[in-house]
Amino acid sequence: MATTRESTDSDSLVQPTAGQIFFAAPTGGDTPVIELRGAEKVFGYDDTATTALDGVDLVIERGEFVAIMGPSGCGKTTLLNVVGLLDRPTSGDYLLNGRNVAKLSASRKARIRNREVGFVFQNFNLIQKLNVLDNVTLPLTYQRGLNFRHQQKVSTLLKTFGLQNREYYMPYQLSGGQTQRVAIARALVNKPSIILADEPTGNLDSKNTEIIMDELTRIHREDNTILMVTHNPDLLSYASRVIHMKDGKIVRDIELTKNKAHATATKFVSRRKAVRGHRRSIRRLAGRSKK
Amino acid sequence: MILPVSFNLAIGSLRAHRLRTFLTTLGVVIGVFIIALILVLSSSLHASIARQATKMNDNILLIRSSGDGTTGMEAFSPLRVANATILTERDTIATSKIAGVKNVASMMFLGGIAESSKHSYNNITTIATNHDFPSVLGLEMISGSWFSEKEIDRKYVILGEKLASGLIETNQAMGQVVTLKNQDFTVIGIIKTTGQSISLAGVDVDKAAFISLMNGARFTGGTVEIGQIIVRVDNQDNLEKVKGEIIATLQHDHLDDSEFMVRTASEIAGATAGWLATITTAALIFASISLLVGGIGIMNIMLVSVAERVREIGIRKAVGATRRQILEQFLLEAMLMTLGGGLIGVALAYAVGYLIALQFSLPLVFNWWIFAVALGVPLLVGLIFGLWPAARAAHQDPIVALKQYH
Repeated sequence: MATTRESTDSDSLVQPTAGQIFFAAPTGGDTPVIELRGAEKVFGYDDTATTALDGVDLVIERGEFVAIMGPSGCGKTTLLNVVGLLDRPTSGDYLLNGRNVAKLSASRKARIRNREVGFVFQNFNLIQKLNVLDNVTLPLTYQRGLNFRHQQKVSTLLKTFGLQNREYYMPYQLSGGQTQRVAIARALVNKPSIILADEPTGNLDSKNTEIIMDELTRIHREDNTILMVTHNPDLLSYASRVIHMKDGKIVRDIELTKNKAHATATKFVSRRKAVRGHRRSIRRLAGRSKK
Repeated sequence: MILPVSFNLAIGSLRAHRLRTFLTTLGVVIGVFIIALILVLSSSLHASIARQATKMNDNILLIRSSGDGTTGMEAFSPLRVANATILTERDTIATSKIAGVKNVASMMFLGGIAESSKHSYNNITTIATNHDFPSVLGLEMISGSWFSEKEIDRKYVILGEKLASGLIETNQAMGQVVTLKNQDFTVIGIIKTTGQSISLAGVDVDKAAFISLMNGARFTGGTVEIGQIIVRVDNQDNLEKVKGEIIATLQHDHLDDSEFMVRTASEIAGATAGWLATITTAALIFASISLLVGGIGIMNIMLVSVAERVREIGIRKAVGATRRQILEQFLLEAMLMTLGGGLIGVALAYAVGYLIALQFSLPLVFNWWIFAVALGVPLLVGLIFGLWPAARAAHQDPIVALKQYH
């Protein structure tokens, strides 16, 4: 029965309506996690000015797994930086959990980043001198006040990633997949509103890619919101929504599956089976978008 | 303020670069070591001077020559005691006759080689003086006795205990022959250790040899050239009165009253303290330069460290470190290095100070303010020289910083 539903979903993907949001409101959420209104980002001045974001409107509800695709220089990373509060839009509004954060001071943005955003990078970005435990604890250390239960909390978290025996390993002693799992654990440790992943599998082989995507899927299933930039069309099958960008604009916004339905479905069906159907349709989709 | 966190981060980062931390800290260690050593020695000397001005010496007057035209307290600089020799034996006798004077010791400063059958010393202070010298200065003998008034023509010598044990064994020195400037003298007494390298005698009694003025004149072609007369007054209340009379008496005998100076022991202690303060200040100014260099070293390494860790800073900012937290971390790193340098420096200074104090019979003083200076100044240096690199770290753009690859 579940298989049937999957195929139905897949079929519906063949004729998506760009920009349309057609799934149920997020669980318990009245306000979207992310809301960009006419976000613009211009680098440089006058003649040398480059527009990285050209009036982006984007709403991401809680529990979505959004993949962003597009050619290099289309503004994907800038979008991620703006959403992650590392960068501020030149104009436009950015509401994070309903609160306008576009014009906050650097230190207030840092505090929000600390609590609401988790980053996963292509090159992992662990601090090489710190062990696994300390790397994952890092976001907690920047919270006000001392919490001596940090270590226990982090240990429990690492266990869910199968890294309980790697706590005192240094980053260079880990495989690429393990390193990225540590980085994901770090992104999750503060229970952020959104996880931003910039090519999270870009430096990994296919086996580790699968491992990492499985982790992200698991996290997604636990009702986390994920925004992932990728070049790899294979990964789109994991997402619940795909956004295509070009020249700083969102040119296509496709809902792949109903968030809730996807989560429930994958609980019952072997994930591989469930995904296989997705992949086929997505390859078709990706192929078309290239043309 | 997340100081405890920054503290752990800073410690961790310092430990990660042990060798670099050590070498950088070395500059501060040397700077603080020199400054603390100057302070330790200066306070030791100060304590030593203070000991002179004890009750034992509060009824003492000193007459010193200022024959080369120097005026004022400069004549009492410990550096130039032996130089001027305008005073004569006539002055000694005239002084001893003044009412209120208990006894008088005149001193003639001679240098030269001292030899025994076993050892030879080059620069031995030899003092030609009279029979009242030990009672004026309150010296005790451990063996033998001082020469009497009748024995001034005998070739006798009295040794300070340290010199005696250097030349001959202390307990065997009595009756031995010691050669001073090629003339043989028989040891008839050994002075008990005073433990004061700075005394009103102007020399370290423990390391000096004492002969009679008549014997001293043999080295100078028959003239007795007195550098200093020490006068003990019978009552402290008479000190100023006697001082005035001495000046009047000596002025009568000397054409120029700038040829001599009369001062009380406490005035001299004060003058020496003043002179010491000047030297200390000058030395501290030069030592501060080495600390400045140490501070620049810290700044240099901190800048390198910031440049090297741009990506780390980017990561920290991405996970939510504020500028202030980054600033604190790097500033603390710099300050921990300088504080550590200060601790090592002051410990070394006391170790070396102890050895020097032992060598020169100075009292070793532990002053809380030396520790305060030796730890406070490096902290300040760390703050000043660490601030700019830390501010640079804090103002890194996380987007740019994260793009840096190893």
